Amino acid sequence: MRGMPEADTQSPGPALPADDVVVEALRCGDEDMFAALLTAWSPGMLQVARAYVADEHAAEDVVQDAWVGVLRGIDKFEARSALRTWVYRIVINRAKTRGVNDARTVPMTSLTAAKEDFGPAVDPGGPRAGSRGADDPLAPPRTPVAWPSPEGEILALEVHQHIERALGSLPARQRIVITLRDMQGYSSDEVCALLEITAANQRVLLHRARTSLRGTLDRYLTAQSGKEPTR
Amino acid sequence: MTTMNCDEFVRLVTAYLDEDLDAGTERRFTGHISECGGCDVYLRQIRVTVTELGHLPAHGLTDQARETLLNAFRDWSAR
Repeated sequence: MRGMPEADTQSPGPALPADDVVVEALRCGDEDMFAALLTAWSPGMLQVARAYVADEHAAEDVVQDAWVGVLRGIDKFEARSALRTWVYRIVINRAKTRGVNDARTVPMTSLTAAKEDFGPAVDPGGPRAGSRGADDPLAPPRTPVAWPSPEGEILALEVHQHIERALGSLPARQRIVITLRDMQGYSSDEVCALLEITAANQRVLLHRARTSLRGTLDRYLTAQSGKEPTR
Repeated sequence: MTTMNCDEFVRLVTAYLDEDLDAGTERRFTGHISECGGCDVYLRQIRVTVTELGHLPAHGLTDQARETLLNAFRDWSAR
Protein backbone atom coordinates (compact mmCIF):
# COMPACT_ATOMS: atom_id res chain seq x y z
CA MET A 1 0.00 0.00 0.00
CA ARG A 2 2.96 2.32 0.35
CA GLY A 3 5.66 2.63 -2.25
CA MET A 4 9.29 3.28 -1.70
CA PRO A 5 9.85 7.01 -1.58
CA GLU A 6 12.05 8.15 -4.43
CA ALA A 7 13.84 10.60 -2.25
CA ASP A 8 13.84 10.95 1.51
CA THR A 9 10.42 12.51 1.90
CA GLN A 10 10.99 13.44 5.52
CA SER A 11 13.81 15.76 4.63
CA PRO A 12 13.53 19.35 3.61
CA GLY A 13 15.02 20.72 0.45
CA PRO A 14 14.73 19.85 -3.20
CA ALA A 15 14.47 16.27 -4.39
CA LEU A 16 17.75 14.65 -5.32
CA PRO A 17 18.64 13.79 -8.89
CA ALA A 18 18.93 10.19 -10.08
CA ASP A 19 21.52 7.93 -8.46
CA ASP A 20 23.97 7.96 -11.36
CA VAL A 21 24.01 11.76 -11.36
CA VAL A 22 24.58 11.87 -7.60
CA VAL A 23 27.34 9.29 -7.72
CA GLU A 24 29.13 11.02 -10.56
CA ALA A 25 28.92 14.37 -8.76
CA LEU A 26 30.40 12.89 -5.59
CA ARG A 27 33.23 11.26 -7.50
CA CYS A 28 33.97 14.63 -9.11
CA GLY A 29 34.16 16.31 -5.71
CA ASP A 30 30.88 18.26 -5.89
CA GLU A 31 30.60 19.47 -2.31
CA ASP A 32 27.11 20.93 -2.83
CA MET A 33 25.84 17.50 -3.80
CA PHE A 34 27.42 15.95 -0.72
CA ALA A 35 25.85 18.67 1.45
CA ALA A 36 22.45 18.00 -0.15
CA LEU A 37 22.80 14.28 0.57
CA LEU A 38 23.73 14.98 4.18
CA THR A 39 20.58 17.07 4.54
CA ALA A 40 18.32 14.61 2.77
CA TRP A 41 19.42 11.29 4.21
CA SER A 42 20.97 11.92 7.60
CA PRO A 43 17.63 12.16 9.46
CA GLY A 44 16.59 8.70 8.24
CA MET A 45 20.06 7.33 8.87
CA LEU A 46 19.95 8.62 12.45
CA GLN A 47 16.62 6.86 13.00
CA VAL A 48 18.06 3.64 11.62
CA ALA A 49 21.20 3.84 13.74
CA ARG A 50 19.15 4.65 16.82
CA ALA A 51 17.46 1.28 16.58
CA TYR A 52 20.75 -0.39 17.49
CA VAL A 53 22.59 1.97 19.80
CA ALA A 54 21.92 3.39 23.21
CA ASP A 55 21.36 7.09 22.57
CA GLU A 56 21.24 9.95 20.07
CA HIS A 57 24.90 10.71 20.58
CA ALA A 58 25.99 7.20 19.67
CA ALA A 59 23.64 7.28 16.67
CA GLU A 60 25.29 10.45 15.41
CA ASP A 61 28.72 8.86 15.78
CA VAL A 62 27.53 5.90 13.73
CA VAL A 63 26.08 8.11 11.01
CA GLN A 64 29.24 10.22 10.77
CA ASP A 65 31.29 7.06 10.54
CA ALA A 66 28.94 5.70 7.88
CA TRP A 67 29.26 8.83 5.74
CA VAL A 68 33.03 8.48 5.84
CA GLY A 69 32.52 4.86 4.76
CA VAL A 70 30.34 6.08 1.88
CA LEU A 71 33.14 8.33 0.66
CA ARG A 72 35.67 5.53 0.90
CA GLY A 73 33.41 3.18 -1.01
CA ILE A 74 31.72 5.40 -3.60
CA ASP A 75 34.34 4.78 -6.28
CA LYS A 76 33.47 1.10 -6.12
CA PHE A 77 29.68 1.54 -5.96
CA GLU A 78 28.25 -0.52 -8.83
CA ALA A 79 24.56 0.43 -8.64
CA ARG A 80 23.42 -3.12 -7.92
CA SER A 81 20.99 -1.53 -5.49
CA ALA A 82 19.62 1.97 -5.06
CA LEU A 83 22.24 4.33 -3.67
CA ARG A 84 20.22 4.99 -0.54
CA THR A 85 19.88 1.24 0.10
CA TRP A 86 23.63 0.87 -0.24
CA VAL A 87 24.17 3.78 2.18
CA TYR A 88 21.67 2.30 4.64
CA ARG A 89 23.50 -1.04 4.58
CA ILE A 90 26.64 0.78 5.61
CA VAL A 91 24.79 2.51 8.44
CA ILE A 92 23.24 -0.73 9.62
CA ASN A 93 26.57 -2.55 9.61
CA ARG A 94 28.29 0.20 11.58
CA ALA A 95 25.38 0.53 13.97
CA LYS A 96 25.32 -3.22 14.65
CA THR A 97 29.02 -3.24 15.37
CA ARG A 98 28.65 -0.26 17.65
CA GLY A 99 25.62 -1.82 19.32
CA VAL A 100 27.50 -5.05 19.97
CA ASN A 101 30.50 -3.19 21.31
CA ASP A 102 28.23 -1.23 23.59
CA ALA A 103 26.65 -4.54 24.62
CA ARG A 104 23.26 -2.92 24.70
CA THR A 105 21.48 -4.55 21.84
CA VAL A 106 21.14 -7.90 20.21
CA PRO A 107 22.77 -8.06 16.79
CA MET A 108 20.51 -9.02 13.91
CA THR A 109 23.02 -11.46 12.51
CA SER A 110 23.55 -13.57 15.59
CA LEU A 111 19.94 -14.60 15.83
CA THR A 112 18.14 -17.45 14.26
CA ALA A 113 15.19 -17.68 16.57
CA ALA A 114 14.92 -14.81 18.97
CA LYS A 115 11.95 -15.17 21.23
CA GLU A 116 10.32 -11.96 20.06
CA ASP A 117 10.36 -13.19 16.48
CA PHE A 118 8.29 -16.29 16.87
CA GLY A 119 6.15 -15.93 19.95
CA PRO A 120 2.41 -15.69 19.62
CA ALA A 121 1.61 -12.45 17.89
CA VAL A 122 -1.63 -11.79 19.68
CA ASP A 123 -1.97 -8.37 21.19
CA PRO A 124 -2.28 -8.70 24.96
CA GLY A 125 -4.30 -5.50 24.95
CA GLY A 126 -6.27 -6.24 21.84
CA PRO A 127 -9.80 -7.36 21.33
CA ARG A 128 -10.64 -10.82 22.58
CA ALA A 129 -13.14 -13.38 21.57
CA GLY A 130 -16.69 -13.06 22.81
CA SER A 131 -17.38 -12.96 26.51
CA ARG A 132 -14.25 -14.78 27.62
CA GLY A 133 -12.85 -11.68 29.30
CA ALA A 134 -16.03 -11.11 31.24
CA ASP A 135 -16.01 -14.67 32.58
CA ASP A 136 -12.53 -14.43 33.97
CA PRO A 137 -12.25 -12.26 37.07
CA LEU A 138 -8.53 -11.80 36.42
CA ALA A 139 -9.06 -10.54 32.90
CA PRO A 140 -10.35 -7.01 32.53
CA PRO A 141 -12.59 -6.28 29.57
CA ARG A 142 -10.52 -6.25 26.42
CA THR A 143 -12.83 -4.63 23.96
CA PRO A 144 -10.97 -1.63 22.58
CA VAL A 145 -12.35 1.74 23.53
CA ALA A 146 -12.39 4.25 20.69
CA TRP A 147 -9.70 6.88 21.03
CA PRO A 148 -10.73 10.49 21.27
CA SER A 149 -10.25 12.35 18.00
CA PRO A 150 -8.17 9.63 16.38
CA GLU A 151 -7.67 11.57 13.17
CA GLY A 152 -5.61 14.53 14.17
CA GLU A 153 -6.90 16.62 17.04
CA ILE A 154 -4.89 14.60 19.48
CA LEU A 155 -2.03 16.36 21.13
CA ALA A 156 0.62 15.60 18.59
CA LEU A 157 3.59 16.52 20.73
CA GLU A 158 2.59 14.34 23.67
CA VAL A 159 1.60 11.50 21.41
CA HIS A 160 4.96 11.68 19.73
CA GLN A 161 6.75 11.63 23.05
CA HIS A 162 4.83 8.52 24.08
CA ILE A 163 5.62 6.84 20.78
CA GLU A 164 9.29 7.68 21.01
CA ARG A 165 9.50 6.32 24.53
CA ALA A 166 7.74 3.16 23.43
CA LEU A 167 10.10 2.80 20.47
CA GLY A 168 12.95 2.91 22.97
CA SER A 169 11.61 -0.11 24.78
CA LEU A 170 11.25 -2.28 21.67
CA PRO A 171 13.81 -5.00 20.94
CA ALA A 172 16.30 -3.79 18.30
CA ARG A 173 14.95 -6.10 15.59
CA GLN A 174 11.39 -4.86 16.02
CA ARG A 175 12.54 -1.29 16.19
CA ILE A 176 14.56 -1.38 12.99
CA VAL A 177 11.70 -2.99 11.08
CA ILE A 178 9.05 -0.51 12.23
CA THR A 179 11.47 2.37 11.64
CA LEU A 180 12.00 1.36 8.04
CA ARG A 181 8.40 0.38 7.31
CA ASP A 182 6.29 2.94 9.15
CA MET A 183 8.60 5.87 9.79
CA GLN A 184 10.37 5.82 6.44
CA GLY A 185 7.92 4.05 4.12
CA TYR A 186 10.07 1.19 2.83
CA SER A 187 8.14 -1.78 1.44
CA SER A 188 8.32 -5.20 3.08
CA ASP A 189 10.42 -6.54 0.19
CA GLU A 190 12.90 -3.73 0.59
CA VAL A 191 13.14 -4.26 4.33
CA CYS A 192 13.72 -7.99 3.88
CA ALA A 193 16.51 -7.29 1.39
CA LEU A 194 18.08 -4.59 3.52
CA LEU A 195 18.05 -6.63 6.74
CA GLU A 196 18.49 -10.04 5.08
CA ILE A 197 15.49 -11.53 6.85
CA THR A 198 12.60 -13.61 5.55
CA ALA A 199 9.20 -12.16 4.70
CA ALA A 200 7.60 -14.14 7.52
CA ASN A 201 10.13 -12.86 10.02
CA GLN A 202 9.71 -9.27 8.82
CA ARG A 203 5.95 -9.60 9.21
CA VAL A 204 6.13 -10.92 12.76
CA LEU A 205 8.59 -8.25 13.85
CA LEU A 206 6.46 -5.48 12.34
CA HIS A 207 3.30 -6.94 13.81
CA ARG A 208 4.70 -7.14 17.31
CA ALA A 209 6.16 -3.65 17.12
CA ARG A 210 2.88 -2.09 15.92
CA THR A 211 0.91 -4.02 18.50
CA SER A 212 3.17 -2.80 21.23
CA LEU A 213 2.96 0.84 20.13
CA ARG A 214 -0.81 0.68 19.75
CA GLY A 215 -0.95 -0.55 23.33
CA THR A 216 1.11 2.43 24.48
CA LEU A 217 -1.11 4.89 22.65
CA ASP A 218 -4.19 3.15 23.95
CA ARG A 219 -3.11 3.50 27.57
CA TYR A 220 -2.33 7.16 27.03
CA LEU A 221 -5.35 8.14 24.94
CA THR A 222 -8.00 6.26 26.87
CA ALA A 223 -6.65 7.75 30.09
CA GLN A 224 -6.78 11.17 28.38
CA SER A 225 -10.41 10.75 27.54
CA GLY A 226 -11.21 10.16 31.21
CA LYS A 227 -12.06 6.51 30.74
CA GLU A 228 -10.41 3.68 32.53
CA PRO A 229 -7.39 2.45 30.59
CA THR A 230 -8.04 -0.98 29.17
CA ARG A 231 -4.91 -2.34 30.74
CA MET B 1 -16.99 -20.30 5.05
CA THR B 2 -15.81 -20.47 8.65
CA THR B 3 -16.12 -17.37 10.70
CA MET B 4 -13.09 -15.62 12.10
CA ASN B 5 -12.63 -15.02 15.81
CA CYS B 6 -10.96 -11.98 17.37
CA ASP B 7 -7.65 -13.72 18.10
CA GLU B 8 -7.25 -14.73 14.50
CA PHE B 9 -8.29 -11.25 13.38
CA VAL B 10 -5.60 -9.61 15.49
CA ARG B 11 -2.99 -12.08 14.26
CA LEU B 12 -3.79 -11.21 10.66
CA VAL B 13 -4.00 -7.42 10.90
CA THR B 14 -0.48 -6.80 9.61
CA ALA B 15 -0.87 -9.21 6.71
CA TYR B 16 -4.19 -7.55 5.88
CA LEU B 17 -2.66 -4.08 5.83
CA ASP B 18 0.11 -5.40 3.57
CA GLU B 19 -2.64 -6.73 1.27
CA ASP B 20 -1.12 -10.14 1.63
CA LEU B 21 -4.12 -12.28 2.62
CA ASP B 22 -5.53 -14.78 0.16
CA ALA B 23 -8.98 -13.88 -1.16
CA GLY B 24 -10.87 -16.27 1.11
CA THR B 25 -9.09 -15.16 4.26
CA GLU B 26 -9.56 -11.53 3.33
CA ARG B 27 -13.31 -12.08 2.97
CA ARG B 28 -13.42 -13.68 6.41
CA PHE B 29 -11.32 -10.82 7.79
CA THR B 30 -13.56 -8.06 6.41
CA GLY B 31 -16.60 -10.11 7.36
CA HIS B 32 -15.40 -10.11 10.94
CA ILE B 33 -15.05 -6.30 10.91
CA SER B 34 -18.70 -5.91 9.98
CA GLU B 35 -19.86 -7.97 12.94
CA CYS B 36 -17.33 -7.02 15.64
CA GLY B 37 -17.19 -3.40 16.76
CA GLY B 38 -14.15 -4.02 18.95
CA CYS B 39 -12.05 -5.33 16.09
CA ASP B 40 -13.22 -2.50 13.85
CA VAL B 41 -11.92 -0.03 16.45
CA TYR B 42 -8.76 -2.04 16.85
CA LEU B 43 -7.95 -1.98 13.13
CA ARG B 44 -8.50 1.78 13.01
CA GLN B 45 -6.20 2.24 15.98
CA ILE B 46 -3.47 0.25 14.27
CA ARG B 47 -3.86 2.51 11.23
CA VAL B 48 -3.64 5.63 13.40
CA THR B 49 -0.52 4.23 15.07
CA VAL B 50 1.12 3.68 11.68
CA THR B 51 0.13 7.17 10.55
CA GLU B 52 1.49 8.79 13.70
CA LEU B 53 4.77 6.93 13.30
CA GLY B 54 5.08 8.47 9.85
CA HIS B 55 4.61 11.91 11.37
CA LEU B 56 7.31 11.69 14.01
CA PRO B 57 9.69 14.61 13.71
CA ALA B 58 13.05 13.65 12.18
CA HIS B 59 16.22 15.39 13.25
CA GLY B 60 19.32 16.02 11.20
CA LEU B 61 22.96 15.99 12.14
CA THR B 62 24.28 18.62 14.53
CA ASP B 63 26.06 21.53 12.89
CA GLN B 64 29.33 20.28 14.26
CA ALA B 65 28.95 16.80 12.79
CA ARG B 66 27.92 18.30 9.48
CA GLU B 67 30.94 20.58 9.42
CA THR B 68 33.24 17.68 10.25
CA LEU B 69 31.81 15.68 7.35
CA LEU B 70 32.06 18.54 4.87
CA ASN B 71 35.73 18.90 5.85
CA ALA B 72 36.18 15.16 5.42
CA PHE B 73 34.65 15.47 1.96
CA ARG B 74 37.11 18.22 1.00
CA ASP B 75 40.05 16.11 2.18
CA TRP B 76 38.67 13.08 0.37
CA SER B 77 38.04 14.87 -2.92
CA ALA B 78 41.55 16.36 -2.83
CA ARG B 79 42.95 12.83 -2.65
